[in-house]
Amino acid sequence: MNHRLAAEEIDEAFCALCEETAFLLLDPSCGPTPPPDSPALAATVAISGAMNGTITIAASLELCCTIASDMLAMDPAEIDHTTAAAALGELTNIAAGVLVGRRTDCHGVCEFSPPNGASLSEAEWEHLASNANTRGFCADEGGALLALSLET
Amino acid sequence: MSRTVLVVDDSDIIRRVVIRCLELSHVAVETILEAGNGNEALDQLAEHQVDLMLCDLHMPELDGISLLHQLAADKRLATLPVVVISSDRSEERRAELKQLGVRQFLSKPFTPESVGDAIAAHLECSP
Repeated sequence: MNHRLAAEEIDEAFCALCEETAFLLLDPSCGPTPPPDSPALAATVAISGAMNGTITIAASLELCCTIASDMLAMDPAEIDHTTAAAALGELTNIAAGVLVGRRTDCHGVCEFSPPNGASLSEAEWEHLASNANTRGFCADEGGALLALSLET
Repeated sequence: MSRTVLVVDDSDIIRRVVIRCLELSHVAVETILEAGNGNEALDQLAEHQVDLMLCDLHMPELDGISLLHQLAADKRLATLPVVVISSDRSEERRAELKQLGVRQFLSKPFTPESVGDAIAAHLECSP
């Protein structure tokens, strides 16, 4: 039996999470997600225990600022780079819990590492986008990528 | 009655979101204390009379599970109502937390309503 999450299931879970956490409406069916015009940020959470793997979420700085401003009920103009990166990290941490929870073959406790943040170059964005495990999403504030690797 | 809540999470963002939920809730909380890990939480608990603790699990230095073990072993703190807020939503983890005396488990993402309801339920029960 294949317990892997279908692409549509990942799309649905992540879009619902973004809407609930940050009032952010993402389109999972917008086709290729090119590198954003603004700098891109990424956050990675390592998963270990009953399941092992990683989840990486990348997004434009503008989109990260929107996520942070909605989480904190602040004006996007007041959000600095550090807060935007921290908000992306928290979103990645929560997404890890949501997606692990959807795996029906996960029996036991998983540990999540603290989010590891980084800036992404255009080439790194394109490399991540071309990964077979990566899903692309679009929003008014730019694109987002979600790469999930999860094994028992 | 003056109520004091301690929010323990290594993420400044999550602490701010939880505090905002507390401020939006219908529960009268007069003092909100913060801690970034279990050791800081123990320091706050040594200095202040806390009525309820909202606690993350995955934190550096002293994590949530280790903190809960220390509370359980401390006569003064063993009955402190604790609500855990975490991304970790496995049944096994919930069972472990229940054994450690955790009153309620809230999985992330949480809503202001769920935080407010949890606070209301357990603050009203506290002595």
